[in-house]
Order: sequence, then C-alpha cells, then structure tokens
Amino acid sequence: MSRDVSHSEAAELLPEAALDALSPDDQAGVVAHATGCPECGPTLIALRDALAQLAFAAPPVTVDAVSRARVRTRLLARARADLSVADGSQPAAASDGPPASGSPWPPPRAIAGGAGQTRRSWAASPVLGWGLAIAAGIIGVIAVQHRATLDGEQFTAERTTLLARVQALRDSVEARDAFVRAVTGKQVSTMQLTSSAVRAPWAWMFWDHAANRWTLVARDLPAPAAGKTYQLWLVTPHAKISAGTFNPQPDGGAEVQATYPLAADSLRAIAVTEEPAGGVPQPTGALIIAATANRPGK
Amino acid sequence: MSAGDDAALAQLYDRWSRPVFSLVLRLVRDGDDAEDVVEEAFWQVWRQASRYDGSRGEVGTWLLTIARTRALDRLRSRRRLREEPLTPVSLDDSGAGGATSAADDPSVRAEASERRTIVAQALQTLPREQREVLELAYFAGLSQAEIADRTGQPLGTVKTRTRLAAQKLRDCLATYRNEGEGRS
Repeated sequence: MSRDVSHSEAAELLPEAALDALSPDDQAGVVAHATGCPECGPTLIALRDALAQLAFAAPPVTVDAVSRARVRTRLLARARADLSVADGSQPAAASDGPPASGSPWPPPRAIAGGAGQTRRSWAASPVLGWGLAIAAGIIGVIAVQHRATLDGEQFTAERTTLLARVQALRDSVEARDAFVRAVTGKQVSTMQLTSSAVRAPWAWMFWDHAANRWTLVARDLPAPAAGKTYQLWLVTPHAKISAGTFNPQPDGGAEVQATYPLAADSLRAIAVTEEPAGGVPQPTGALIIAATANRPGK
Repeated sequence: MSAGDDAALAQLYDRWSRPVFSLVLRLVRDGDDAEDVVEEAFWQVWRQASRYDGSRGEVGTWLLTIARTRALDRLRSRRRLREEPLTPVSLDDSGAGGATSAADDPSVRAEASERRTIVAQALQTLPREQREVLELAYFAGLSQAEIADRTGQPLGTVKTRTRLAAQKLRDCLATYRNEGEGRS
C-alpha cells in the first residue's frame, strides 16, 4: 500500500527513503513518486549509492568459508534448476569447482572449523568420501521412489536440494583434502614459530615448494586488540612480503593458506604482527610470533 | 547473467559474496539467518537481472541494497516474534575495518580498501550525532521514530540529522570520486 506523495514532500523524504527508514506506506509513496520524477529519481539513486557504501565502513566480521561455499552451491543448483525449467531439460549436475582465483598471489584463506574440526576431518575424509557415495546412492533410491509418487515439479525441487547437499559435502571434503595435501607433501618444509608471551602462542608453517603453497597452523593466539588484526609476513633479504591478514578463532586457533612463489633459499623468516585491520604494506605493529627459516628439506 | 548464464552468477557471487555476507552478518547476527538472506539476495539478483540498468548505479550497490533490505526484513520479522535487543555497530571504527576480509582476491581487496578509505574520510566530515543516526538507520534498520526513542532526541531532530548526514555523505563521496578520477 502506498499513499500519494507530493513532489516537495518526496524531495524532503528522499534521504530516509534511501535508508528504508520510512513507514511502508511512506516508503512506497516516495519510491513511486521518484520513479517518475526526473528530479527525485536520480537523487534517490545517488543517495542509495552513497549509503550503500556504508557497507564498506563497518568493522570486519569473520565470514566462514564453508558457509560461503554452501550458499554458493545452493544458489548455483537453484540457478541450474531454474534454467532447466526454462528450457525444459533436467538440471545439470552440480559440478562447479571452487571459485577461480587466477592470481599468482591469492591472499590467505582461513580454513573454517578451527583446529578440532580440521583434525577430525583429516581422519574422516575417506569416510566422508564413502558417505558421499552412499548419499548419492540414497538419492538414487529416493529418486526412484519419489519419481513414482510425486509430480515432476516437486521431484525436481527435492532432487535439486539433495544434489546441493551432496555438492556442499563434496566441497567440504575437497577443502579438507587440499589442506592435508598442503601440509603433508613430499616437498613441504616446516618452521615452528614461537613466542615468549605468558600464554605462549605457537604455530607451524608448512611451505609446499612444489605448489608455492604456504599453510600456517597456529594455536593459543590471543585475540587482536579492537580495530587490529594479525598480518603474516614472509621475510626475505630484500623485502617483507605480506601474506595477508587473519583473525584467530575464539579458541586462539587459526589456519591460514596463501600461495606465493619464492626461491627456496630466499626465505629468512616468518613473522606474524598485530596491525590495523585491513593490513599495512610494511610491518609496523607488535611481533606476535616468528620463526627463522630452515633450509628446504631440512 | 540477464541471459541466464549461471557462470555469470557464480562470478558475481565470488566477487561480492564476502562484502554481502559481512554486511548481512552484521545486521542479522546469526550465521544460519545470514546464509538464508545472502542466498535470497543473490537469487533475487539472478531473477531480476534483466531489469538491471547499469546507468542507475553499479551492480554492487544494487546487490548490497537488496541484501540489506532482505536482512532488515529478517531482522524486523525476528523482532516481531521476540523483543530483541539491538546492538548496532559503531562507525567510529570505520577507519579500521571493512566489509571484506583478507581472503578476497587482491584486486577485490584493493578496491575494498580504497572504498573503505574514502567512506571513512567522508564519515569523518560528519558530526558525531549525524554519524550516530546513520549507524542506527543503516546497520540496525531503525525507523526515524525508533531512533528518536533510542536517542531521546525529538523526531524532527532525528529527521533533520538523517537528511543532512545522507546528503553530506553523498556529496563527500561524489567529491572524493571526482578527485580520484581527476588524479587517474
């Protein structure tokens, strides 16, 4: 329901309308006026555009990578189902891979779940693999049963949901497997980072020389101060290279991955410093944890 | 995407899901709700892609606006079901953060950092009380009357502050953008 809003009234209410801060009737009235008004329309768009930028001003929150992957899988499954309905075909198998980076230097990616979950997953990956196979089998059985009893639309919807669940499980397993590969490969060298703090944090860095992959596993890290974050550095004789920022889990654990090509003999140290959120080009803050590099293979 | 290309949807999701997730999480403060809202926001974009007009604003603005609206719907629905205390974020921390994280690709991170800097600069030009009403309206989804109730200020004062804050923010951002384009 909207009410008629005069031009002068609408012009006055545009900022509130851009914030969706009006009553539903007023909001609909102002938007309806602005849609056809050459003066209010562009102003409302400009205000909305400016206010949308506030999203970038909020202090950061940790976004769970598994959540993002789960939503991505569900979303794409829905889109494929939508397309198949449009063209009359069956939905394609949900086979999209992880987001493509295409970058030689993707920043670190937090591995969701924290230490306990990650460790549990190492052992559970083969089991999950079988679980996926069984789940696929169950889907098949359910599909046969339902195909006989449900109409086509309902069947398609349920099949899409189940496929999305299988894909989410597959993504999760692949992420865990990638992590295991990154820390157990033949060409992986390790460095232990230590600290002299009372509740001493510790960490291991796994450097996969073949894949240029860096995996930091840290425990007992204190929470960074408000407005701060941790930044990981690869120290060479000529530069301190940022490997990205991260925040530990509430239990102090963190797993961070990054890809960066570095000559085997050029690494001198690994360090984690506390820096302003968003990171800095060069380290400025307190040293939290550090290690001197070993030679590869030692 | 308007042609029904699901790869384009995947690309859009990979490009924007972090800031969208971050904004939505900050609003609804619940992981399950955030997942639902983010999915529905991108789904709405997918379904309405043919209606998108690039001349009326960038796609990220459109997406963030949809996501915020969806999140506020969820928030208001929840508030109707149970009285829920509001704990909006403070924009006083604006210079330190950003609706993104380190796991974006470098170009996304650089862009987010640039936006963050510009918005922080713009916000610094606002008086504290104007920033406060923006914060309560944008991140807590409060109506003008609710803000007046919360802050103890007359409704007219809240409206005036909101209006001035939004207009000043728009003007500042436009100026910064023009300066940036002039330099590049």
